Amino acid sequence: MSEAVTDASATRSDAARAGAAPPVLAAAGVTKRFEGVSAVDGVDVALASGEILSLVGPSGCGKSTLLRLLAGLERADHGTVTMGEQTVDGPRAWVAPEDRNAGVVFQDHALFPHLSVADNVAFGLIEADRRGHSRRRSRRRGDASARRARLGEVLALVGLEELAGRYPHELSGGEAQRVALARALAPAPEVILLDEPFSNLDRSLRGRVRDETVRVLRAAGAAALLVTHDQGEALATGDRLAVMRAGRVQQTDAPAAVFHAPATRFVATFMGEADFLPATPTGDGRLRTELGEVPADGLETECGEGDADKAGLEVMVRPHEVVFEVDPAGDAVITDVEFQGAFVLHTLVLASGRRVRSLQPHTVEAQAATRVRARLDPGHAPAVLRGEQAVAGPRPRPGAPGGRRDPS
Amino acid sequence: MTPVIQLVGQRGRGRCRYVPRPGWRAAVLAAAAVPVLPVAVIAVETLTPSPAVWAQLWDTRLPAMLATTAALLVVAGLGTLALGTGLAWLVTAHDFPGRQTLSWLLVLPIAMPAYILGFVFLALLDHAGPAQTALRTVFGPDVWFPEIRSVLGAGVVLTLTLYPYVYLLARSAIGEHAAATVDVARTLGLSRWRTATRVVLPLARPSLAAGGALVAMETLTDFATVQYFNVETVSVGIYRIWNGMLDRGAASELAGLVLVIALALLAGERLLRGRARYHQSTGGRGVAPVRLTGWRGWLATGGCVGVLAAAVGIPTLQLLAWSGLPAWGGQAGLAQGRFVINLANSGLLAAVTAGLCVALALVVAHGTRMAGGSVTRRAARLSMVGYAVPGVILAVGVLVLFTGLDAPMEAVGLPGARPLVTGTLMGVVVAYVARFVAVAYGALDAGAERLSPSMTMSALALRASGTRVLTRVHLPLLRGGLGVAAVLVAIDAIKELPMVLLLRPFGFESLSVRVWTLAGESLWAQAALPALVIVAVSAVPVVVLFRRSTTGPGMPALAAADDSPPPHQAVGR
Repeated sequence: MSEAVTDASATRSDAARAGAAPPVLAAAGVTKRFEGVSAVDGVDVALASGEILSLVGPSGCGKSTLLRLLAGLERADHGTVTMGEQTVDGPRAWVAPEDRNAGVVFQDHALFPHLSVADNVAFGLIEADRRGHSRRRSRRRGDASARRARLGEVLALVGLEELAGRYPHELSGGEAQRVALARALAPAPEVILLDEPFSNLDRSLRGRVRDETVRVLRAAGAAALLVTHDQGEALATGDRLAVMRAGRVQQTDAPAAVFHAPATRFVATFMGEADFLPATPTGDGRLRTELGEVPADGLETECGEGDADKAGLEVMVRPHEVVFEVDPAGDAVITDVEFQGAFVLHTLVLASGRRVRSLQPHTVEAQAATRVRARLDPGHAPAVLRGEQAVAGPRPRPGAPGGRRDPS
Repeated sequence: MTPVIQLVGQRGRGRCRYVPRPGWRAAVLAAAAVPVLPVAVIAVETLTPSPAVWAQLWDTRLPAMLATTAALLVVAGLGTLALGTGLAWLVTAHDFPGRQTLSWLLVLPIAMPAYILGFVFLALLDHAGPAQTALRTVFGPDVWFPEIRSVLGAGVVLTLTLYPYVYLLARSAIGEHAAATVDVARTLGLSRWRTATRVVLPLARPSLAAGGALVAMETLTDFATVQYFNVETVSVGIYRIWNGMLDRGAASELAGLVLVIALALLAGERLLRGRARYHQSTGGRGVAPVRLTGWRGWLATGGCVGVLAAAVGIPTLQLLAWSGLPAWGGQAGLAQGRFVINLANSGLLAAVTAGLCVALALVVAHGTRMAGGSVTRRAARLSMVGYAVPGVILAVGVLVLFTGLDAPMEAVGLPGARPLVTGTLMGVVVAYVARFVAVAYGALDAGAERLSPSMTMSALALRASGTRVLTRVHLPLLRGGLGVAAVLVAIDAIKELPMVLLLRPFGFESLSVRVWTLAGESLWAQAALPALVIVAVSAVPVVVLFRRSTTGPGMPALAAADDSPPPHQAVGR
């Protein structure tokens, strides 16, 4: 597989000039409609070699369709999909899924019930070798032993050597997931596409299987796209995170950046609890809110000096950034207390009537109807929004589509 | 009297929307053409009526034939609905001695072809039969007895052989799907009877409508049984015109009329069903049965046993008695020789049909999984049309098609298509395949429950080509279904009578043709042995059904080529 990459980069100099290898898998302006409704609407996404990208969004946002487009299980209406230097889907190009080099792991694992674990894992190896035969018929014997070696290697990688002779119905959910992963990895694809691979597992098992999957993917050196509807999973897994809504990617960034500096109001609320407070610039690079002043990184470059530009700003406030102390003279009231175990979520109503939530360690015990004085303790410049879009945040987010607005 | 077969299976199991694969799409389209073309030819005939032919038909027997057809449809329809629903309600909502066994035994009459029950019925009850003779000995020669050779007589025979269609659908609707709703109704304070009429019956209505439509299609196509009873329906007219006058034009015009009646009935079914859909709740416990004690219980048992005796028990005993009689022993040599030939003919026809149907069904099943898209899906659904229309339409459609091919083939120096259909089994085979490919597909698809769309996609992503996906994934997983499909088609082919009667080459006699010919000449004793063979073969799927019925009614049901999921789809999943 690495041969293909070297060949490709040798023939084209563009990548070398840019100083980086081309993405192993990339979609540009990809659109797919079903019966007139856009499931995927002009999506750009790119996977670098060895990178793990999580794709998260609510149900029906088109993330699974995007995965199938990338795998070649659907054909795009518009846009192109490229693997390395090769266009695999485009107006004049089409490479069928079986001719691409992308492994897929499905939610239901889709193991072949009539084949043992070993035969499931070897399935793709046999197909890959068959393709080789059309050119080199003499290597058949060598293939078989190479295949056995590779099979052992992959089974060892996922820790399933002992289960090689079992059949899918004899496996637990976690084991089936590992077989599906091993099967996809066996032909050494450059990229693995995982469609909600953990959502069929028990909650207690999910975290462990997820960590194990990431370890295996890293060990195999494969790039991976992980589709999930679970925000926690998306934040915890992968190098980067893409948030999708209604067929569009709203933000692609490192998990922490997506959490702290969401590009849109949707990303802000989807990726975590968020309240919004109106804010006015103080003129010295800070913003005044009902809960005190906060720093405002980069707001000057985003907004002009005119008053109109400064109107309608809001800062995003996550519950863990709101602190309070009990004070009979305070102008906020606790209206609701929700015990969550290690933490307690308090709902406060401010003097303006606005509601913010405050997440405090279980040591903080304030009853409902207590008057408190609240303030913000963000630890960094908060995200600032106007309307649906973010206009400033804690740090720059290069290459975040739909993120910062050009002031012009 | 084909077993009811599940036709539509794709929906609700994850939609397959793969990239278009022109090769497989073309294959599905080609497979769909076999059943669609004969029906389409007749549809075109309907749209282009020739007034001269109609004028002549109208002047002769047509009004009477139409009236007879309508009367027979009403008698058979009401009879099967009443008997099927009544028995279903009895066995699902009540408990009485032998209920468990009777509940599946009541399906057995589906294995008794009407053209066999019909002649036994006649032999026993007609003027010269033992029943009337006995009555006359007791009450004198003027004792009244209803005319057997009538619409009513034919209707009773059709009811007794066709009611299982309604029974199966109603039993599942009442027994499984209505359970939770019934519980709710009872907690809302409805009495048992009110629950039955206000909740269960409306819930079962779509199933009853579907069952009624099936019965109507079978009734429409049957021109063999009704001839014993001197009942002249439109289908009988087609047979007479084709067989007697070889008038292709008039035959196809009449077939068009049958198609219009069939479409009207299907539209009626839709109307009756309204916007309701078959409910598919899984794991229903069924309605809590009421225990019938004492004479009531035995009355219920007696009723079920009576129906079974009339539809299966007495006719089978009579056939056994006849086949053991020395009556045909006189011509045993001749009869046995012909019997073996007939048996071989039926076997050959069944084997060829089964092989072709399974192959076509496999193409459709694999092709739709490989090449998604609305065209492929629609073609797949259309390929089931042969089972939804009366077989007589297919037969005439095949005739018309082959005749149409005749001229072009002769023009290029080939012997022509007419000899193919009149001189060989080609016509019969094409018509059989057109009709029974749906049966094969239903069985195949029921066996494909383990085959999820993601499995196909996984195989593709693992670099298997379309053909390799077929040989390495789809075929191994469909293997169980393949055998069932072949057996079901073969049984249907052995039982089938109307199509082979219309299309058989001169001198070709299958078991079913032999039975019908002998019965038509009142040579009942000689017809008994081939008839017994057919009944025995037909009983096979019912016995298989009983095996499966321990986990639920495994007999899949026909949901005519429309959007609704089949009523029994939920079973065993």
